[in-house]
Amino acid sequence: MAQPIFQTLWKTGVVFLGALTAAAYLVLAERKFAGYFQERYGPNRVGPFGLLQPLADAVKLLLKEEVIFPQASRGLYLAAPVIIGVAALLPLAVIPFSEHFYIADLPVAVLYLLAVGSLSTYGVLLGGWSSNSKYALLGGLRSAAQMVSYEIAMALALVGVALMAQSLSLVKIVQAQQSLWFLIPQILGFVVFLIAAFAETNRLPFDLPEAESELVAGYHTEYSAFKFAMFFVGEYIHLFIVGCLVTVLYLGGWYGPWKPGPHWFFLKTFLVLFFMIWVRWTYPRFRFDQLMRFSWKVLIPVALLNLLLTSLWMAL
Amino acid sequence: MNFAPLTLELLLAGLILIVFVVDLVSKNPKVLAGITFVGLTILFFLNLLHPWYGTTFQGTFVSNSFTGFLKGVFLLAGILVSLGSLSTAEEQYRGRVGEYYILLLFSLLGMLFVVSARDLVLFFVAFELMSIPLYILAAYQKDSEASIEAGLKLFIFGTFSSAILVMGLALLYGTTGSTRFDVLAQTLTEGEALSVLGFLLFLTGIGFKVAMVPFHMWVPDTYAGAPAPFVAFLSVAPKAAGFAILFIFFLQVFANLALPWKLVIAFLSGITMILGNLLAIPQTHLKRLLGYSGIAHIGYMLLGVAAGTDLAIAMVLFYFVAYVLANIGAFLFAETAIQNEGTDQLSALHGYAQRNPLLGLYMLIFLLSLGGIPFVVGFWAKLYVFLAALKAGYGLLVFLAAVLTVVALYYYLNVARQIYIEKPASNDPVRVPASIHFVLLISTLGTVLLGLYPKLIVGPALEIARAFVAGL
Amino acid sequence: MWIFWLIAIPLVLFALGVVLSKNLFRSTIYLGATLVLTALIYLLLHAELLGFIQILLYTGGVATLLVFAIMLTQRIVGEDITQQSRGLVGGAIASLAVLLILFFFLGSSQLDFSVRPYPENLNLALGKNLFVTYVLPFEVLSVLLLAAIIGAIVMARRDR
Repeated sequence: MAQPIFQTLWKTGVVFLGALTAAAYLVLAERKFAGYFQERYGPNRVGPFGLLQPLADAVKLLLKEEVIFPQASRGLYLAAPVIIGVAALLPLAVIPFSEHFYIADLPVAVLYLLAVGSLSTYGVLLGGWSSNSKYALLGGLRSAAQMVSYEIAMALALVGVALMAQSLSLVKIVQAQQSLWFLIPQILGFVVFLIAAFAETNRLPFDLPEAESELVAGYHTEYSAFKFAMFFVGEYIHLFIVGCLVTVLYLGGWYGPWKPGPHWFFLKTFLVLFFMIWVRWTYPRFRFDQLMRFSWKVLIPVALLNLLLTSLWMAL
Repeated sequence: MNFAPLTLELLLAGLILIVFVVDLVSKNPKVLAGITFVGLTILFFLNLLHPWYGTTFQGTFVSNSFTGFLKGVFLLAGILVSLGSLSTAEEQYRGRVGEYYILLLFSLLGMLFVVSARDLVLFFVAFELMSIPLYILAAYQKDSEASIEAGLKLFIFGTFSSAILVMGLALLYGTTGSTRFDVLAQTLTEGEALSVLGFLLFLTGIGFKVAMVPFHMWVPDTYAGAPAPFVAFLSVAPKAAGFAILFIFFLQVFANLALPWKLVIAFLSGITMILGNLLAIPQTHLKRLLGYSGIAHIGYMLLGVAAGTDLAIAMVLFYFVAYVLANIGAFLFAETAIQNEGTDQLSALHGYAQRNPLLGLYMLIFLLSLGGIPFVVGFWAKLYVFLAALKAGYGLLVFLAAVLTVVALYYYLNVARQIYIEKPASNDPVRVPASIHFVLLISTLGTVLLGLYPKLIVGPALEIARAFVAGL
Repeated sequence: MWIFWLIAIPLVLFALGVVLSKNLFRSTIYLGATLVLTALIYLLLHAELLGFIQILLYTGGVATLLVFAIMLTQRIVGEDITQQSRGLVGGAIASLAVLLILFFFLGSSQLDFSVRPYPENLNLALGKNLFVTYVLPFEVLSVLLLAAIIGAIVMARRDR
């Protein structure tokens, strides 16, 4: 576990840049796939097949005018995108991309993930509150309620995985899946986790916090330029991390039919992300009361059932 | 694992579940109160006839004659209050009577655990189980601002004192590395600075709970604002539990700690008596007056803790019984006055004895018992505690207590004067609900009977206290 | 050592912010920050589990609910809740006194503050403690939570 400090540093650098690139191209992928699902081309003007589109977007966002409203609570208004960005990047520290490539193998990594995951709620809440605008406020409130509720279901699903692997370390969890992916014994937990992940990343069909037809853009309505970019990138990094986590927790991480390695990891992550984009452009949005009822009355009981079955299975 | 010593607790938990289920089927307050009353009565007699003595969970849970006696006191308070709350519940708690009784039983369950716990963790969890339902019950009259205020005050002081208490317990654990009382007793010998701090924080935390004097400020407003039947419970059961905790900690956990804790308690006892009695004099409302008089009684009982001998412990145990009967009775009288007149102002009580002679007689007996007039139980209770303290060498303090008892007579008899001598404002008969009447009758009979034959309790109490001291 | 001060000084500042801020919403946000920084202190002491649980439960759970409640009452219902810090002088004196008492007792303590070795498998040791040694308090705790839930519902529910 103890590795020299410079090794940690270069790994951190690689993961950081990699995640940013991944997020940028996720945006492109989303737009491209959205285009295909709707029988249009999607962005194809900048570079071959539109491959340089993310770069153009970044330049555009950075060069736009910074607007800070006089009505906004300045300190908190500026803190919100920072919290979102930081909270989105923190989970990367424990994700094992291959058997040897990870920044840290924390013995309590699962708890760490849940803990830093809960911090991003603050970014959303602060953004919603400090903008001093009703759309932002409603978006922030919805998001807080949604994230707190679905976090419980997610945590309960994770306990099942931890029980199977008998460890909270992500590396050990992947190693426990060498012969059998947890997708099969933990199928209930997998479904719960995936659904909760949609809610945690604020994506359709659970994108009520920013539902554009009612709330303009939700909690980041009043943000522009670089600050908006932080929210935007944060959201896609979050999405990327969820893809990684599903791979690590349920799809056997770096293991595959042949020679294990990071290629399997990225292939699986890509498939999960493709699935999430696919769902987004296929299903309509829930109503808010349906959303809450679904979490408390369906998802959490199912997760508890899964926990019970897993404990029984492990006890036998 | 041996579950036998836990039987009483498990049965009470079962009773809670029964009330829970019945509440789903029938919202009738009479049914719910009846089940609680009958269930607690059965538990009371089971505890009396077949106590499950023993030690379990690696010595962290103890059931012996000492805890058995205390559990009897708690259950008695629960029995009287469950029936005494019925009329209030029928009128004001429509639709949430079941929860009222469930919370009451939860608090009782916490008390049963708290006196049996011989481990810091179990002790603190049980302590909270005892306290948290009380906060909610105090604010149970949701449309009354006074009741909400009472609940809020109790909540803030309660959680604050719990935080102080748990900090003290954490320090004790930190200095010894163990949470078990027996290990703590062996390790806490020298005056290690942090364990002294732990001791002080513990005393402060419990001080809030039993309302010793520097920590008593929540009492008057809470007693005045909260519903009277609940205050009847609050003013006796958690206090008895608090004293049991003091005995267990001082005689077991801190037994070898070289600290002059007896002097500290004696000092606190003195100021508690003085302040409680003096502040009770100018009160114009019955519940507030009883609140201050309750503080004074805490002072008398602390005298017994300061003495710390087996005789003193036995006498404090006896005092609990006397105090439970008289205090619950007095508060239920206040509830009757509130139901009839809408207030518990002393001037509203004018001529109650003419308007309802029986009610007046009950209250007179409670007042005499609280005041310590011969041949009701309160007299013997005071006398015995004073004697025990005198034997332990607290002559001056006993003298002070005796003087203050005379002062106390003034305000107790003042209430009696309002009831008996002052002319009634109206001649309407005072209506007493049958449930309250029954409880008043039991309390009065108990007060008189034990006043005539105090040996009935004193004998067993002495044996229990001797066994308790010897068993340490 | 310098890491400790890097955490401790903002921790104290945020804690002061909680007490002194006029705006209840800001107070709560500072509380959240205080709780995170406390968790960092736990991490510094190698109590990873405790640290992350602190963030998860207190920052992610308790403080978020507080913020939520304040947002609902303040911006939507329109009631402006400000916090008056009355009795500031008395409070300051009291907390200074507490600080001095703590310093006195800590200073005269002769305890051994050295770090003890950790058990090989921390999760296993923790589980054994929770479900074997302290199983009775654990069960009583679940009863306590049930009581608290019932109490909260009774308080919050509208009477019919």
